[in-house]
Amino acid sequence: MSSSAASFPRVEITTSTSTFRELIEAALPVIRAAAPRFYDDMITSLADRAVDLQVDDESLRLVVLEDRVTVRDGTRAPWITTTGETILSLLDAEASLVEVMRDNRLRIRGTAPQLVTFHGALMAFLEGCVRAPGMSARVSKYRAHVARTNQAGVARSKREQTR
Amino acid sequence: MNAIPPSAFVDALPVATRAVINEAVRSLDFNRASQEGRSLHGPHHKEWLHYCLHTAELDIVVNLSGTMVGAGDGHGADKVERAFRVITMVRDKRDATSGWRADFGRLTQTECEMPGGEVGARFGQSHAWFRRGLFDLRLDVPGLGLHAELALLPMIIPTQTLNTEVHDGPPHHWAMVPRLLANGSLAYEGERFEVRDAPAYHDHNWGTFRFGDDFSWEWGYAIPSDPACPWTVVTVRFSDAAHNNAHTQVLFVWKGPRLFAVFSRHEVRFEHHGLAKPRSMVKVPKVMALLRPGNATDVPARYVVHGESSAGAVTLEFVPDDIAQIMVPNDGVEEAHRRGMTIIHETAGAFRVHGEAHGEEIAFCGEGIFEFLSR
Repeated sequence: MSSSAASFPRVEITTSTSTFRELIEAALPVIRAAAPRFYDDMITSLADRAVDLQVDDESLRLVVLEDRVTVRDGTRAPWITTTGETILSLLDAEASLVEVMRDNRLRIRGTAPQLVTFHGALMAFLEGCVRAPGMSARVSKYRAHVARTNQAGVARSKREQTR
Repeated sequence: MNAIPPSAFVDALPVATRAVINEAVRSLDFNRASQEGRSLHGPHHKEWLHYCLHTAELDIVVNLSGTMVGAGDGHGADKVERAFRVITMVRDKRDATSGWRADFGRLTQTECEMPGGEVGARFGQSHAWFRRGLFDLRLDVPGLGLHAELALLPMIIPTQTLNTEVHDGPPHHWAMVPRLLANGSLAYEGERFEVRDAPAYHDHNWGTFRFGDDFSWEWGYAIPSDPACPWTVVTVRFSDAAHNNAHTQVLFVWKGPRLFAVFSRHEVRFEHHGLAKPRSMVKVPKVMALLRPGNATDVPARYVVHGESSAGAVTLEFVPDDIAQIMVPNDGVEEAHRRGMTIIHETAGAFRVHGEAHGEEIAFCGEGIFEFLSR
């Protein structure tokens, strides 16, 4: 092992990972089955307005199509941007939603109605998640993805520094 | 693992009393539902085992629950299954700023044994089985850096309270071993502790109800840290969710292994003074902080339970220091009760008991754990 590799932060990486989009796509049908009233709340929140977001280098759009919350490819102008690390900090209660917005780890650039849409959809999604079986395993896969992505990022950065 | 040395108080009770305690544990503290959750109590059956332990340095709470979820609960799942959850909480009393640390785990059927008719359970690598007059409590919680091998010796004849009304549905049932002595060893965050006759508490609850329905409870215990002190006190109050109408309210007083006085119904008065400003507050599971941010709580700053009857008058006072909010998603019958959370406030702090009953003065203090439910 090279000395630069030895200095990497120690992270546990499982063989099974999922991207943010895969996490959301896996969660939605489970929420629909296990917590239909909160799935319906998401539809209500997203009925008039899609949510465009970017998480690390993933860009996606949440939109209601035929009474289903659907994940589509994102636009070039996401109005919500954040990182996987920030999402994990929120899930682990290391930071609050207000704190990550204050320090720009979560950026929202939209109108007041867009903020209401985002908040309503997020709360309904979370209420559904805490009632849906198997969510912690899905989050673990995303956690592994973030760890792997960050490790690759550190390696890339070190290579660039040594050029 | 070395054999755990026996409690210095193992022979403090007459052999006959010890036999009564052992038989009562076996006949009152057994699991009511089958491993798969089948029971006489219908769907939405819940059953949980609760253990609390107080060493000089640490407070530890372990709660294992098996809850029936699935078809017919309005959540749209296509099959009924038993969901096992285990919550372990630790508080390091040497650090006033640390508060509770908690680990929340969901376990599968294969990871958990809670067989009907048996006393105890296995949950992951941890277990609590009643064997040869002792609760063999093993805790292995890597998420907290906690490992414990303990033998809990029951010191009081267990009590069972059946058919407590919680709502307009089936009642709640409760068996408790209110005072035990813990011996053994534990490791926490790399530090090892020998545990010698530390006070402990255990209860066992079962019933068929849904969180979010119109009920609430307050519960707590006062066990002196001195094993030689004969007194033990437990209180409980079941009420509607608004805390306005009590269904059951009791203050139990034991002397040694036997129930000494019971104050119930109109004989007991509950007082909430002010609102707690805890040193710390954590959410369990942590993700709930996103849904219910902040430290707002309706836990009282000072809690007083006063029992008075022809037997005497006893007052229990409790001041919470640290609070953990265990947040349970509501699954109530009515649509309005299916949203939101039931918050079980697990609070640790100092208590004081004083009064007299049957001509004997009662006065002791220590650290206890009290629970307060709110929405």
